[in-house]
Amino acid sequence: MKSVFTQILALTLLSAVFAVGCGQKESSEAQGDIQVRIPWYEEGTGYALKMVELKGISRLSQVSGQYVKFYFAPRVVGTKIRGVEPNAQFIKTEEGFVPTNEVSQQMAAIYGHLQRLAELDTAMGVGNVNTWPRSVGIGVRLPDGMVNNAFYDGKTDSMLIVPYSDRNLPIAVNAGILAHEHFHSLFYKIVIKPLLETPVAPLMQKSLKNNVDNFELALGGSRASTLGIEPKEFSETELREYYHLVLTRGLNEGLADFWAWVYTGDPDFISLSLPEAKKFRTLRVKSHSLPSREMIQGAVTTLSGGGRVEARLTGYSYAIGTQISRVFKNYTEIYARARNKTSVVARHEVAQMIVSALPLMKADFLELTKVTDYYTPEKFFLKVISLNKDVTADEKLFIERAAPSTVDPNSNPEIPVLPLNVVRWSHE
Amino acid sequence: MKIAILFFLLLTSAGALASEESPVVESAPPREIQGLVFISPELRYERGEGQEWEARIPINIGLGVRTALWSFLVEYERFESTTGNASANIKRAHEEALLWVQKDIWHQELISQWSADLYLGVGGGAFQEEVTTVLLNNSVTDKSKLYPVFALATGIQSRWFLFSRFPNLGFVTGLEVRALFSSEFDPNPQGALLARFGILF
Repeated sequence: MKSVFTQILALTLLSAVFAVGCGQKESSEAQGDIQVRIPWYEEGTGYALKMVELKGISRLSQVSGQYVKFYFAPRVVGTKIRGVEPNAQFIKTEEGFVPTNEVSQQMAAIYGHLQRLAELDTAMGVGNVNTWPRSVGIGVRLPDGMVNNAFYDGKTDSMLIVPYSDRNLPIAVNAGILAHEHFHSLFYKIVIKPLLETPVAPLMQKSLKNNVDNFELALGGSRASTLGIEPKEFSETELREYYHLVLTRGLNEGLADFWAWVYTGDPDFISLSLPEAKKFRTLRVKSHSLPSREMIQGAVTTLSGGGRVEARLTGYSYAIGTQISRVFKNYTEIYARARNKTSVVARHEVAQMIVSALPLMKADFLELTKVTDYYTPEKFFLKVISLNKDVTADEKLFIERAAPSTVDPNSNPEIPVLPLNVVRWSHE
Repeated sequence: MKIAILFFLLLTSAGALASEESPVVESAPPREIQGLVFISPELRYERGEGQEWEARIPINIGLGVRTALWSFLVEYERFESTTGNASANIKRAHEEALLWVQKDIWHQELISQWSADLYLGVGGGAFQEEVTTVLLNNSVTDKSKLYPVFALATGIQSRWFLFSRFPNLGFVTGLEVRALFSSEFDPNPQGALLARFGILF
């Protein structure tokens, strides 16, 4: 009798364990299109907590799916990033899933924005440039302990986000910064990578590779390299090399800032996360001045004469990038007014012109064969404009001011150099 | 931890007091059915977002009834964790309630009115989580539904009846290992270690 009772008790206990304890977590089982509460940006209203639909989720516990695959604290292994599978935590409510910690929330927000950026890419005609899902590293630990930053790495084709230590809006949920980093993947795939694969002049190779290698150094990869620039007087060849290094970097950064404005409509998208950068990176400044060849040459020569040459040249890249993005933004606003279009429509149409012109930039670089051949921001600007078949009078006036070579080849506007401490974010 | 230290001091004082009250008269045994209130600091581990182990230290409170071999207990516990910064943060609160049935499988009288028991326990109950999400100047609070929990435990505990004038008043201290089963736990089962400090009456 006692033996039977013991067996029944054991069976009951086992059944209870299976009934209650087995089975998957609800967040592990969740698949498909799922509502998740995340910090979300809407133009006009800013950031708020909203239930946002994340589409194509294959495993919510890793926030992986059609648009993103995450790696936690990744390392570079060859041409890939490798890291621990993240373990996102959610509770399920009637409205949807709610993250229970900061990292899970950030992963969901990044997924939501990359999903929307994929839709923007398709609308702009570059939907097939990137492969999806995108690789994103979170909790990235750099040897120098860098924080409050985000990167795109061309070699591993991944977006990487280091920890955020300030009291402001974390970078991982900043819509504009995510759009900025995403644009780098488009620029890399359309301009840099194809050029590296073609027999472009050796001096251009070094310029373009620097756009890629700068980040790899930060992650401590096996192919780490630096410019190794010592203060010196450059030869004509070296000057041309570093000029194009600064210029391609500047175009990449400037167009990425413009893309962030296209995505958010916020000319100060940086400030909520990095308020100290607002003064130098705001797009509110009304500007028609593109950096000229002579100005960039002069700045490169000057900056190479002091210490910390590489940091100074990088800083200058960001300065001309900001100038480029301001000019494109101002052109877009004139474009909108001239055609009586909304800001959103005008931003999208100009953005489409820009991405259509990127392959033309690549073609122009291939033609820089002589030591006296230089590419300029003005050339790219005019290539973009050339795709506008219906230039209005107001636009023409702006174009003449922005591209003075079309009117006065001796025009030489001045551009301020960014302080070094502001440059620290967003390599690539 | 402070509460645990307080209980130890109480026990020490009680022991000293009891030793002053030399048992000239034999004390009566405690009655067969007794009430029990207790507090138990617990240590359990959850898997974090990077697959690392994160410790949770809830304080478990409860009451129950004890017979010669059996204990029937009700427990409640809560722990919180907060992540994020001043502009964007998330507070998670976990609440759990369990009913336990414990049976002494070994008993040893140590000295007069002081005994030790080894026991096995089976428990069942539910937990719920509440998440408060803060973004800039706004916050939203969400609650999960109730999820069932099943638990198994084993432990050792000591009982002291120190006051001849109050034969039913005793103290309980114990150490317990338990496994908690729920499909929502990570890991599942979740292991826990707790120290129990209680009063029998």
